Amino acid sequence: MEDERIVALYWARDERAITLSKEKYEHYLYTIALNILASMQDAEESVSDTYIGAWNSIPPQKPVVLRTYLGRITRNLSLKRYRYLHAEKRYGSETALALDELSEVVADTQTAESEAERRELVRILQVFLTSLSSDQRMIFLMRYWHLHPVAVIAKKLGYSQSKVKMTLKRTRDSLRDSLKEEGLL
Amino acid sequence: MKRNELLLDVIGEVKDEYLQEIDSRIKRVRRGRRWKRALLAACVILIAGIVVQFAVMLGGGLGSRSGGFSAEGLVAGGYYFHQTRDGDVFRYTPEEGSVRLIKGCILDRWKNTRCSTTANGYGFYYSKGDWIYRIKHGETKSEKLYHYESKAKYPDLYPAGANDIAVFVDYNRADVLTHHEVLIIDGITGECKTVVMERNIPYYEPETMPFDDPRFADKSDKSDENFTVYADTVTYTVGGRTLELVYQGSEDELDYTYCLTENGKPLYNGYVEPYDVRTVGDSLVFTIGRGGNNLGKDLNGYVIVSPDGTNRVVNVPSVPGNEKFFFTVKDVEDGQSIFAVRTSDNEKFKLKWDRAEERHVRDIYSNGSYIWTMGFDGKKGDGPASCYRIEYENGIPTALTLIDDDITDNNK
Repeated sequence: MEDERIVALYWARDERAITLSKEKYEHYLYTIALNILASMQDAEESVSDTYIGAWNSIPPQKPVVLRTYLGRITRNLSLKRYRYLHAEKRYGSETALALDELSEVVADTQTAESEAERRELVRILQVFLTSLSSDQRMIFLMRYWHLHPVAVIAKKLGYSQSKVKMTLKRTRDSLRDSLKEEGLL
Repeated sequence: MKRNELLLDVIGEVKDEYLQEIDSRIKRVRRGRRWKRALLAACVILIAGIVVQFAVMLGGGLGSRSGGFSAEGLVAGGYYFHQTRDGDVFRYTPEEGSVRLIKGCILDRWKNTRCSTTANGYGFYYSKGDWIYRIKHGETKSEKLYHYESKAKYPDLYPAGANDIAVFVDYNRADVLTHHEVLIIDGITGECKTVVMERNIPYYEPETMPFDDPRFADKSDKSDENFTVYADTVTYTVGGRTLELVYQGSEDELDYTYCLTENGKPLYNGYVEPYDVRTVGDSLVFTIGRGGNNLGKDLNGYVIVSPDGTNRVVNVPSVPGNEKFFFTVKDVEDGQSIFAVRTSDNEKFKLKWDRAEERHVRDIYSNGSYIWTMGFDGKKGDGPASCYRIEYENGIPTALTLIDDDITDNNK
């Protein structure tokens, strides 16, 4: 069923919206959750909470692309859960590896996160992503949005792993330079 | 929150269009691979055809052991079935020796293709002409089981659970239009339980492949959806458990992106093949596909689902044996070794191997009590299949003892 019709069911408070969302996107959502959490049990909770999150947010939201909307909810919930579960420890999951890589861009020190700083970071990031080539942007987001391993990115896009690694390294360096120019580092 | 965590968080707020860009690109890469695979397959068929023509011209003929396909084996119902390159099929047990079930089961003499065969817990099955035939375990007489409703091209048979078989077949219903279907046939009654019409596409012989045909060069995102239809769910039962393989859509490289579920919950994080489902003991064994988290890995593994509620994943390229151990042959420093793989934890145990001879072993097959090895003699082609008994100590396989160095020769 088309996303538009499923979203209409959410708006009509028809619970078939959840069933149809599950049928269409459950495996995709599990992939995101498992990439972050590396645990079926934790992933299951994240995915279940995603449907609750979707039910509670649609309406007033009216997503055009339901897949990315649900994926975003799952990603946020999974990262939150990851932080809660791994507050003091380091694990070899893709999330831990991705955080290690991103600490080349910004240090892994505590920040007194303010809403203003967050908004500014979002703005800079959007400008930065727009400045990238399509390939660079896709590789960057597959690594840090989807948390896919390098081998998976290479296979899905038809590149060698060394090209993916090199592209990621250069993109992270460019992002660091952008943040420095904007005074956030 | 740490700053790198904040950055990771904030990346989640990128525009939807950037994420959709990724989906579109992956689809294009996958479509390009399919097209390349189809072209490669067409080239292979064309080259194989040329090789065969030369073999015939030079007097080799198709009755000799030149070129053609290798011998194959399969294990089901307590038997080992061995198909030679000439299409003879033998059924073997160490107690009874070997029985030739079929002589010269050739599908296409020109292309040197044998008839496709498979077996499950009920019998042995093969496709020839307009029929699928069955030979019940313990018997030798062939019975007609299922008649194709139209002229079938190169059918492929696979096990589909305890008593069913899956048949992949192309029917020519018009000069250039081919229907590719998957039939699920009840191996006991011959009833066709399900037909999934997978593809309804123009079919061309390799030498007339229309490289400029827009239907092959179609770059639109919807082109695959117009051509290919997969069953939404494929259902199996094991004991009192009902398993559903749910189609996930074309997200990854492979077409068959099915998720194995029970009561709506996935049993495995990845894809499994919906057909080619074997019975080992009382359990069903699903072959792991290459999508999902297995992308990029050189994996040939299995998910074992048992009636007692347990599920196990074998991550080692291997062949099924019994529910506790699978087996694999590996090249090691001093030649080859056979290992038992414990299904509960994938631990490997090297077996002491009293080898029949020094030829390279190409394939192995097992039922947990015996292992059959298929050798390769290089220029001479396939060597005979040998049978070894698996010795156990404290429930762990430790060694192989040769009991028959050529199972097609009744002199044990």
